[in-house]
Amino acid sequence: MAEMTAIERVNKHIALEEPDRVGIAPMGEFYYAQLMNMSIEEFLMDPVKTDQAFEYGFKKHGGFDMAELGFLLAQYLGVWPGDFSTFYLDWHLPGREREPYEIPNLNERAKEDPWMTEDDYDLILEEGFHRFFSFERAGVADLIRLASMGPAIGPLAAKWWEQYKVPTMIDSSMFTPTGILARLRGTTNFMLDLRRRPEKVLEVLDIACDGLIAASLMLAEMMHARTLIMGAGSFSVDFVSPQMFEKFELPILVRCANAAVEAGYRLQYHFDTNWTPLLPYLKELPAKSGYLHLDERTDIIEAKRVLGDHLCLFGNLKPSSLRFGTEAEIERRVKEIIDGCAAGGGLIISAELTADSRFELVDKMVQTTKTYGVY
Amino acid sequence: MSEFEDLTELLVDMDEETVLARVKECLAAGESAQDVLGALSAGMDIVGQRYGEKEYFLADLVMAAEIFKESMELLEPALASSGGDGREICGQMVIGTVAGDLHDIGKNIFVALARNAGFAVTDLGIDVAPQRFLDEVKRNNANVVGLSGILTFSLDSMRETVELLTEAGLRDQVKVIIGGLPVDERWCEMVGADAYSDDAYAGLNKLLALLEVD
Repeated sequence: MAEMTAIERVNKHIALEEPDRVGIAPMGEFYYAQLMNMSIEEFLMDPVKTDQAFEYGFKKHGGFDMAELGFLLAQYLGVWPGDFSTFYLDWHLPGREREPYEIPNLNERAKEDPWMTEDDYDLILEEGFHRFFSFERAGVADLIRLASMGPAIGPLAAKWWEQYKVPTMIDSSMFTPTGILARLRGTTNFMLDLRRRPEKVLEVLDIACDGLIAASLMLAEMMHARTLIMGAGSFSVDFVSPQMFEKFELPILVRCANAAVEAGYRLQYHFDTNWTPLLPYLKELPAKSGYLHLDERTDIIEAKRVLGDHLCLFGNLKPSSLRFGTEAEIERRVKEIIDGCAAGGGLIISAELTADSRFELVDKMVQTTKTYGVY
Repeated sequence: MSEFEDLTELLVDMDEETVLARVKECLAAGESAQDVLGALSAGMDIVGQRYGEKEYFLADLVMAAEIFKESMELLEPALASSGGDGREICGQMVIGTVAGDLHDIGKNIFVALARNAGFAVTDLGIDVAPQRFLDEVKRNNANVVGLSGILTFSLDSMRETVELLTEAGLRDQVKVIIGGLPVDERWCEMVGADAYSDDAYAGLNKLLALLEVD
């Protein structure tokens, strides 16, 4: 089979058809800053610098099947109530609360000092999540910086899509009310709320959902987005029972995913932690609507068995193995995933790289996929 | 059969309102606070076992720990006036999320389970510098150090902490356990810890085995 462009290859995988080879798309983020010896602060705050660092890593590894744009800034300085927004949450950013070479870090304020109290559910019903917008950690200059992002991102995206024929990985977010509630209340408090005041939580989820969908679609348009990230981290079986997932999170995920797909967007379903027992539920997400990011805690081979005719899989090397592992281990794991999941298409090998991942290990993941993953 | 077996069952069922009402009722009736605590403690053991067997989930563990904590607040005055909780302390633990890392959900659960198992725990919170661990180990004459973290950078902080304990001549005095989702045997070796776990309940069992506590 003739070699395809990355766009053609990814499209085939998402359509669950076999292209020329298995896809490869590490989620590198701050790893690329480290490769260029660029500070995390510099990398995060300037989309052009982000792009420079990514392109350097892209070329050093001989190319990937997805490109990472400077969407990070819009996440950390977003005025929308997202999981990563410094206007809503206690994120400690490089060059501010942290050293310029340190990665952002969220103070979970897990139990005693949450941003949102149990009484605030009623306030959300009256005023929405914007009640929690705060200038405590970010300021007006950040709003101006954010406003300049849209025009900066457009040409960068065009370069990857049109010139290099590489699709962008994530351009914007589909916010979910469960995600932001878990962050604002702190995961511990939120888990208690699911038991102590389930009806109130459900009421807020229902009412907030449409507003967040509208905000997500507005941001996506501003970001010239094609792919939106949608997370569900706090509802895996590492946190709650399948019954709780089914009651609180699944309807929200389906509603948000359908809205994104109807508006013409592709989704990265970003499902960290252990989803193995919940995989059958994910058939309710729209078929062939994007790709399902799984980390090493989910059995990706079981995911192929359950969802192989429904969603493209994306993952699932253990991030720390790309810092502490060996080349032989990485090669073995990539081959295992390909042997178990590649048949029929719908597989993109990936890992969420830590900033201190080792080049030779990441390269082993990339090159093994490109050679062993040929159909 | 324990006189307060219903209390054990109520805790296992995570019936917060009824547990607290029953504890108050027992105290008002002049029942032994130590016996009430024993029944609740037995409930926590069952919840922990069910979590270990994947019948219960983290949210259940959090809820049960919360009910246990609220019950303890009710019991404490009576326990204090009757000579303590009657339980043998099986270890002095100093624990925290290591420098540079702010995650604490897993650590908090581990602390709740460890306290229930009989450890006297000094929880230093998040982003704890190595020197602070050292100071608190000395101050509390600790025999267990718990280091928590989920970022790969946390490994360096964990290792620095263990090195500092070694330099201070305290390494042989303490068992070091590390915890967090990404920790594994390799992390444990690189840090120089005695045990590791990515799961609070399994971690506690490893620690008890290490200390040869039943």
